[in-house]
Parts: sequence; C-alpha cells; structure tokens
Amino acid sequence: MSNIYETTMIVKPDLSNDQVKNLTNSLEGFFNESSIVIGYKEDWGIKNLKFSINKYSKGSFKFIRFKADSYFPKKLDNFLKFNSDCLRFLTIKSNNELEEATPQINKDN
Amino acid sequence: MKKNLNLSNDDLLKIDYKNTQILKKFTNENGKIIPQRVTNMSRSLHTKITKSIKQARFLSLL
Repeated sequence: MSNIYETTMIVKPDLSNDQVKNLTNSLEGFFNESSIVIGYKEDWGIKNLKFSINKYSKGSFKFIRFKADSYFPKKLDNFLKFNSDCLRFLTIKSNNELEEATPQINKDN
Repeated sequence: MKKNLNLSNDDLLKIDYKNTQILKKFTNENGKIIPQRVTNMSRSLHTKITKSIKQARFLSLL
C-alpha cells in the first residue's frame, strides 16, 4: 500500500552552490533508484534557528512530499542520517494532498 | 480560568507542525504547552496539538 509522506530537512547554511547541487542530485538519484517520483518541492530559505544545532545558529530549510510504499521512509532516514550536509530531518505521514502549498512558503525570515 | 483563543473551525483542522502561527497560541510566553483544562479543547484535538508542537520544537521552528 502506498501513502503520502513528507520530509523536512535542515541543511547547513554555509554551503556553496556546487555543494547544494550535489546534495539535490544525490537525493534525486536515491529516489530514482527505488523508482519513486518527488511529487512536490519547497524551499523555505535560510531561517534563524530557535536553538543552535551542531553550533549552527541558522539553517536552510528544504521540504519534499512524495508517494511511496511503507518501506521507503526508513531507507530515506538512513540515507539522510549519514549525509554530513544535513543537520536534522523529520519524515512523517502527510495529512495534506500531494501538491498543496505549506504555510511556511510565504513567511519571511 | 478558561482562555478564549479566537480560532475558527477551519484553523483547528489545519493544525500541523508547519503551521506555527496557530501553534503559538497554545503555548505561553515561556514556550510551555497550555493545559487542556485552560484551552477547553477536546482530548483528540489536544493530543494532535501537543504532537505537532513537539515536532515543531524538534525542527526548531517554535
């Protein structure tokens, strides 16, 4: 059975353009391996964190939503866990539709 | 004392860790979760609220 899942990642804010491209490419490659399409992508920009994570006071937030079988989120968590550019991530089952905008997108800071 | 939060039914359906504007109403100035007996929410809604507040804290949005 397939469900809709969503992942929010906090990426290091001081990455260069090439490193960000590298990260997105490797993530897309990982999704392609299991033949899963990323349904919806959002970039919330660089935000001030409410507390420091690994001595970083700012973080760049990325959000994706996808449709997958229940085995996949565990695999994705394992992939992100060993990625040194990703500070923190959260994967949960989504209550929203696949291409619904989040309230964070039109927020500044 | 009961608290009036001025929330519509539509807002309560949208409770989520991404929707920090609504979740802020359920915390006091120290960032603690306000008890159910004060906000006057149902049990099922209150569990939803606490869960999403804790998810937002994990991502340091709240």
